[in-house]
Amino acid sequence: MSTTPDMNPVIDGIVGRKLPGFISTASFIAIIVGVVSFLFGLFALGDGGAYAWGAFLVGLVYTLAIAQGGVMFSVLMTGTWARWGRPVKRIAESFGFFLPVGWILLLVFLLFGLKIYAWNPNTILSIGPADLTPHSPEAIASKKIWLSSTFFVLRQLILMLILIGLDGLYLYASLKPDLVMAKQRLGSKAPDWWGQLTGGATNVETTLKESLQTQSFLVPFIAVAYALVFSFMAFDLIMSLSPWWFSNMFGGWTFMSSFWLALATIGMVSMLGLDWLGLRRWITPEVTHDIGKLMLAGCMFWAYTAYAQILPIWYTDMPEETDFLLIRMRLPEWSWLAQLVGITCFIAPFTILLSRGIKKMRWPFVGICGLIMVGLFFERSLLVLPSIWFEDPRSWDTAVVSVGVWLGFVGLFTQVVGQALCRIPPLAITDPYLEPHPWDVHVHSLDHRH
Amino acid sequence: MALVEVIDPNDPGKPNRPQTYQESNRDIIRVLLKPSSMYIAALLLTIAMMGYGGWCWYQQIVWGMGVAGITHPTMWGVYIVTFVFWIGIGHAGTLISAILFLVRSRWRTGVYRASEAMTVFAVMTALLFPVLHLGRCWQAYWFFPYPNQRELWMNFKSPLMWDVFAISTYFTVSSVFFFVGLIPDIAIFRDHSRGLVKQIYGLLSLGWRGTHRQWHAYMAAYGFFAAFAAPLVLSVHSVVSWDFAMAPTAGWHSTIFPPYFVAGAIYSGCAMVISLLMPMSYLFNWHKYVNTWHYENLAKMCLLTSGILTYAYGMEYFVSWYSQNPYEQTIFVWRATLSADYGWAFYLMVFCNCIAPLAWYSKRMRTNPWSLYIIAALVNVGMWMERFNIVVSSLAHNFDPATWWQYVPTWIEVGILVGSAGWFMFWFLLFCKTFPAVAITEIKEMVTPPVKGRLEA
Repeated sequence: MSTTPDMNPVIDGIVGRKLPGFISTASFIAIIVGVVSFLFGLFALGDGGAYAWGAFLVGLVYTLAIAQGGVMFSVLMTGTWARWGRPVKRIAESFGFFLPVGWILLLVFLLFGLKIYAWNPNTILSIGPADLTPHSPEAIASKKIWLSSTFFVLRQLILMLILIGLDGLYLYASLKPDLVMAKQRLGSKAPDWWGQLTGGATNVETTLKESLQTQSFLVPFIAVAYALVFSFMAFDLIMSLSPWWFSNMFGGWTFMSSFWLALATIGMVSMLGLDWLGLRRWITPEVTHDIGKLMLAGCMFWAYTAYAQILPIWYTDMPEETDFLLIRMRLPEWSWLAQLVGITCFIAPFTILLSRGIKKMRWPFVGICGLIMVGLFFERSLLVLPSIWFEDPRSWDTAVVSVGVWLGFVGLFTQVVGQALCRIPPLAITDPYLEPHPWDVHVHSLDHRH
Repeated sequence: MALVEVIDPNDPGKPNRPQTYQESNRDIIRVLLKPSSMYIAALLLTIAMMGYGGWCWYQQIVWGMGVAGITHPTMWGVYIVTFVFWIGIGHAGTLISAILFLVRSRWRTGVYRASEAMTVFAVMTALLFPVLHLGRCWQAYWFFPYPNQRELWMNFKSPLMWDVFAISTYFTVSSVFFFVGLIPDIAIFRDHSRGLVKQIYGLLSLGWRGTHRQWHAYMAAYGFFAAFAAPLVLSVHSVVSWDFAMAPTAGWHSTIFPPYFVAGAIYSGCAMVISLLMPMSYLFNWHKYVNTWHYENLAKMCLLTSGILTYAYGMEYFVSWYSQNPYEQTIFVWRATLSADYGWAFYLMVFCNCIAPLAWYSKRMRTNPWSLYIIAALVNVGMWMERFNIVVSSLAHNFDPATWWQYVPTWIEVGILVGSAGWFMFWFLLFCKTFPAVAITEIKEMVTPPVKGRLEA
């Protein structure tokens, strides 16, 4: 079957595609900076490596959120038959290639970083579990099995593995018909692994039908698995750093903000890779406008859920709940970060995203996506670090470790996703919902991009 | 051209939409004709229900609050449960009309007007309950801040006061949004009526002529109200949830309550839309405008929100255990103990809200009218039970074991509950007979426009 004329440039562009030199160099430098910062934190801060592992955890949950959130964007498109986001569906899916790498990093953290948890008998924190439970000394003792190292590690690894398995099936189903079609056009220029991956399939229509069925079938399972796995990841990896504290919205808040973070990253990668991936014809200002609107909704939802968590805790004023907030919002050592989170995660993006024009202009849109990405780095840092660092964090060495390790993770993510995008069709070329619906009229279709 | 057959969620299919503008006008204006005997019977039934509810209320006024089952420690009973239930029902309308408008979801077209009407009438019904619960209903104006000689003010720090402002804002915005959407359709009714009726519709259509300028202003206003109303969907039930979450009462103090209440509200609202529109569609012969396409999408909305609720129920249980707070653990275990006072209500809630809707994962069940109607009714029962579980069980089993007792609603409270359903249905039936309950102008957007020369081509 011949390809439609519009798809040929997209398919031809795959041959010989390489990550742009600047991006490649920058991401390698970022990885090196990350490794050096982590080692510096491990040996030079004099806290037994607690802060460095805390920064590692921030980077880990941050990049895992983007990777899984990208897959969720694609799942959302499939589940709702939405057309508007189809041009960026493959870019979002490409984030999923980071998940196996993320799982290995999770394994590393669980093997070597578990000592930053106060409930761990081998904790390296300067104050132990007994000091951390002034209000309910029994609280940790009766959770011994749940917060035992073995169960904790196995639970996290297995849950994440189940989610990655489901994601893998979904991504394979989504990618397969595109590879079959692209292989037909490229012939011998197509990489050999495409043929191995598609199992020698040659009929695009049959493959596509199967693919659509499989994707639709997997949607509810992945959605449920995402909500549960990311909730328990939030409860275990982040919330249990303060083992006496609890909030039953913490899991939901984290998985929703993970999706929002992925959305901002999709916007960023789409705009940066517009020419590199040859998608200018597809990722129009209308598409970025729609992504921007969803980002605005994400921003409002983040603020709503954050406020809805803080208000009952503040109002009821029960010591076992308020400690967690007081440390972050009232102590001068951390309150500046809480204020920064408020500005970068809500006030600034909310105000800026109200503008229609900004959502349609390439570089300002990159800017707002970057702002949200940085804001959520601050947010994850605020959740993790005050639980393990009991001194003033406003010093150059802690800043170097925090930012450096985060850059390392971002660099690694960029390399993995960039390399994936070099090797697969960057557009869901066989997707029957790729073109906008004829009934959808964008009233404000002026191109502000140039 | 697509490689495979494309399922278009925006296309109801040819049999499910009118073919011409005249056809849609005629079909919807038909409601103004002489009412059928079935309609009159339904209206009389609602009046009888209202009458019974009114008589019960009269008994309460004459004999005092003692005739209702509420007493210490369950000072909140059926009235507050039903108040939260009706506020929840009032959420789907604005969700369907505003949020689905913003996300360009076309299936809303056939059902959004009736859902908006449902919103307004449900909030009107909910507003009865704080007054009923007050006992001395003639002092209801004390809810609102007003200048007085003794400089008395209500407690602004109380979440109950936040309710007053949140709900009155929601009611105002929903009503205005509802009315703005009605204007072009009322003009069609005006153009097809005579005498006094024409004058009334003329007054309500605000001089609508359908000019380019008017349409421009209308669309701008509609878009603005949609964007304005959408956050209110989240805010109102969040504030209602804070009536409970702000208290340190075990089983109430929960950070997940706001999104969980909002999801529950949308869930019950969508189920109520199915429950209402299925008989209405039969009564007024709207099958071309409100049909399986809409019901299936509503069922999908219910599935999503049912999933969120199930997640929230699970998280409440998990965190109550994780918190190791003995009071939290006790109340959650007690609620789920079948032999306990309200165990049956808990399991009824779980069955209706979490298990029964799972049948809708099958397309066959989503498109079967009986399955749709029965499961939607179960969801409504389940959502009332959810509020009953939250409100009553935590109070009946509070921190002081000496006060524990089993609250059982009296026939006065049940009568008022029945009366509130009658009140709600009465307004809804009246609306469907006198106003366009299906949005004619938006339906026309789905009809192929009459282009000159088309027939010759």
